[in-house]
Amino acid sequence: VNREEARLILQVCRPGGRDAVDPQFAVALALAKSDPELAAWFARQQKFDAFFSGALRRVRVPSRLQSEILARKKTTQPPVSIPWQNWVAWRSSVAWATAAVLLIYLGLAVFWKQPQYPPRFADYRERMIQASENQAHHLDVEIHNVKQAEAWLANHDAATNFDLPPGLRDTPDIMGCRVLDWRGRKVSMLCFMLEGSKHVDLFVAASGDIPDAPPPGKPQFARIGERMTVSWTQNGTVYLLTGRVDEGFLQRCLQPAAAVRDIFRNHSV
Amino acid sequence: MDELSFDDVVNAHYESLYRFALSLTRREADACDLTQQTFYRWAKKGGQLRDKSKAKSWLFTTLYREFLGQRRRKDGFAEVEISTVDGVELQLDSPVPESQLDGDAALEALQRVAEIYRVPLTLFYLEEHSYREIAGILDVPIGTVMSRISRGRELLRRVVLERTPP
Repeated sequence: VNREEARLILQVCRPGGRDAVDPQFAVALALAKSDPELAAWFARQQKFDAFFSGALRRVRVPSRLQSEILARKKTTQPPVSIPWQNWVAWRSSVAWATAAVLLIYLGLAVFWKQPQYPPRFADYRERMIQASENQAHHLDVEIHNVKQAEAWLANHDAATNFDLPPGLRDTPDIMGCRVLDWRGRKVSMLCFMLEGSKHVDLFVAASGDIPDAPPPGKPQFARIGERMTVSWTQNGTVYLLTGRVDEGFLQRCLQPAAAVRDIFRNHSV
Repeated sequence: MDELSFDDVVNAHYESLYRFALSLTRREADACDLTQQTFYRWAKKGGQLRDKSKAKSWLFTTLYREFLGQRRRKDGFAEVEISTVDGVELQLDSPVPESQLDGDAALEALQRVAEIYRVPLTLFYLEEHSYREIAGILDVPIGTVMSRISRGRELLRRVVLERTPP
């Protein structure tokens, strides 16, 4: 095990020596004993971990919770099954199933009678905001490098002929990407976590897929609920950048990287 | 249950389960509901667990899945596990704050870290689980847990140091 491998292992070593018996940790810990630089790094790491673990243990637990859990167990008895209850349950399930089938038919009938609207930018923006808000499935892949993200999107037949805004081009704060489907067209999504906690997503689609997208050279800012969006068209590609941030922050994302580095510098620790 | 009574399991784990739930839901009432629901499931199905030493992992796994299920029903989005690719790691080596951080501030700091990092970080800092157990609870590869804890820790340090400079 070399120093870098030892670091990789030791970074998940819990403070307090609880993992020392794990053979993998034992090797890395032994190396730390003979490597002062590694030992110093590990000591700082453990100090922060102990500091934060201690803080987390101070999160107050509601005093009533324990008694409520225990009380609920005492009142939780298995239901007694008697014939008429089964009959009612059976009748109820048949009624639900019938209602569900009717609803599906009704839904399909309404759907087929709906006029098929042409693609609209407002619908596109709304759908992409939903994807940006979706935390359960936010990314298809975690990648922390823009070039790797482009390669991954290319492998998944998604658009990669995009030109990232200057403030996002070389940032190490890319988190990953996803390929979305909008009306049968592929949309590339790139996720960024700027300044450690400012989450923004960039969506990229072909401008031909969205006829009423903003005209080239005129970025459009719009607030949708709690989210700010900026959209622009460039070289046949429509870009949509959105996040729970203010307009000024999105404007800075469109600026040259130096301006963004200033933001980071002002917030650096 | 052979060796463990229901009361024993509750007494041993309800606090850390609640703290984990609170980091997920961000609301005390929701965290209480999620913790209660988890023990309710344990009361119904915990007896089927052959290896009682795995009760703790079973509880945390159940709570996490229950949380994801509730959110999926609420949002209407399907959950798909994401894959990982090794990328550029942050190389910050910031100092450790000297002043004490209270529990609420710790939670607030965690909330400012993206969820994919926050969940394994919380499990890690609760000190209840090894990284192998965390991988099992989240159903992700061990390498993914390692990289998420590593990157998440650095993001968390930034946030903590903003609040409590050394």
